[in-house]
Amino acid sequence: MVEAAFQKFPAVFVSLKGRNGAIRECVALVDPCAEYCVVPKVDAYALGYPEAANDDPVTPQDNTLTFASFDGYGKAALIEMAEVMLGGMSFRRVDFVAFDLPQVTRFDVVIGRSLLKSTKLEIDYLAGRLRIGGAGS
Amino acid sequence: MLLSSTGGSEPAGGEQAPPAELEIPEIFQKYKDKWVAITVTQRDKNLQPTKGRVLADDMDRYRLRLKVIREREVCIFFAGEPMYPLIL
Repeated sequence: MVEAAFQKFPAVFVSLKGRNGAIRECVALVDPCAEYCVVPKVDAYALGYPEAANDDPVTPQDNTLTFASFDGYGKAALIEMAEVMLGGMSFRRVDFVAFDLPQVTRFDVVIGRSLLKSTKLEIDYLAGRLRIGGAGS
Repeated sequence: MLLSSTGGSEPAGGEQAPPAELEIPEIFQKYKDKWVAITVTQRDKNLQPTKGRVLADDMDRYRLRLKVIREREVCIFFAGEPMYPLIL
């Protein structure tokens, strides 16, 4: 379980271990409304997913995902993160979309339903407390 | 390993000392409104980082990643809040 305080946005440090064994730890926005977790393309590439860097609209990769956001439709590579470490919990083979959130949002990683579906989430906005865990893998 | 451009941890003489270990709130204060890459040196019971050594900082998250491209394990975050109301 992980418990963290937050001010405006429920966020937590999360470590992503790629298929090449490299690790990137980031502050992740916890968003139960996001269907998938999100990682920047540059980090996906560094973690051993070169297919995330394919921006060629003519020959899209097989793992290209079409999604809807506040900005309309979008396309991005769907990758399987080897391991996600969140507090003392470890989640293996979690689906992530390699997508660059606008830099001005100040978040570049999102923890969405592709991870949250396998655990318990409590967000207490009144107290500014976030708790994730319970039935994690 | 690249040192922070503004961290003030570069010694006057040629040899480079390792960057100072700072508490996470200190990093937020010292590198306010910048993207920061750190090596985590201490964690709390939830394994959340509490202290670290700043490897690099930048206003741009892509330039920051170039600075730490050789690091196998690095922690990256923005030391501040979004400037505008957020709708995702």
